[in-house]
Amino acid sequence: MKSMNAKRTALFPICMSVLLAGPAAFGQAASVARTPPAPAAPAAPVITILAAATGALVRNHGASNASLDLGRVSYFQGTSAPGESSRKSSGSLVISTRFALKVDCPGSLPSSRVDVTMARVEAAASHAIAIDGTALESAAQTLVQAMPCGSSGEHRLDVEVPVSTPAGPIGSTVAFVAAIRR
Amino acid sequence: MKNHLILASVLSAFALTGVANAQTGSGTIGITATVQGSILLTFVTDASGLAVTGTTTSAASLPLGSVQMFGGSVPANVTKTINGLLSFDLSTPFDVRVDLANSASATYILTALLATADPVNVWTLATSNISASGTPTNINATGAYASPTSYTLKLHVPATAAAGLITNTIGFTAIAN
Repeated sequence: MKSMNAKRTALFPICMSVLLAGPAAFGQAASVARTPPAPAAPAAPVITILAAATGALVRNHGASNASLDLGRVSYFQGTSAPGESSRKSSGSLVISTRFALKVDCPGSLPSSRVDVTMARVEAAASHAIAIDGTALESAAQTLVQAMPCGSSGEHRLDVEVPVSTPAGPIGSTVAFVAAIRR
Repeated sequence: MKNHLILASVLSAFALTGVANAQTGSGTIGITATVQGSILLTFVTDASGLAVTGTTTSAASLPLGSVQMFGGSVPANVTKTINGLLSFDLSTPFDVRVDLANSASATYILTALLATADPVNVWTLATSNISASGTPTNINATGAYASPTSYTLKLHVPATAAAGLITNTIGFTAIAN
């Protein structure tokens, strides 16, 4: 029994050594000592949401949070806010505007790229939201693939309000996640 | 016991490695709007009426053309009625359609107001004399949304009225009940 315990105990340092050495160590046992120290791990990507040149006003609240107020909208009068347009479809009003999304990757290589996903945080039935033509859901969907770090891109936002929605305020939150490509 | 400890340690190490490699950042945007209820009133040519210029819009006209008490002709779907030697009437139906959005209103009130009072001729809409102008006349207290409703406009012209152009504007207002 004692010998069994001794074997199992010995397994732990071996596993940990493999994990700590990382993939670069495989097949290069002789050169481990000459490998320069690894650079500091890059920080997480930073998303900034901005107003587009032709879009509605976007208020930045810091820490990657922003807000966009479409103002007063009505089915028959549309919207009059700058940077917005509206169109009537069968039984609903669609308000459209544009916004910009920028992703910085501090500490990453200049050639780094990110994949950006989007999701709707809540699921209010009073209105639908689409970005670049993709209807948002609670499950994450791709917004941009392989977006260069440090770049920004404009996107179209559509908010569809059915005529059956009662008058009053509506609101939604859209969450974006940027992941550095490995 | 040691067995459990080893397994837990190895799994933890893998898990931590995964987290360190997944570099993600997030951001949110709050989107708000204020939806306002709205009503749209449009004029539509009635199946039995004079063709409305600007049908299905909110600014239409009824061109009755050049008419005379005796003889002559009237446009299609305009009825001329001669009242002896005293006067004649021109009448035609037209439709008003009211649509509603983002409101729970079930019916609407429709009022009409002649823009300029006419002391010579008599303007009748449905059964209401609207010639006096000044105050809107209620012509439907419980209009139904989304379906054209027919109203007949009648213009009564006395034989004593001077020949010439008769023109006026009727303003319609729909108010949600």
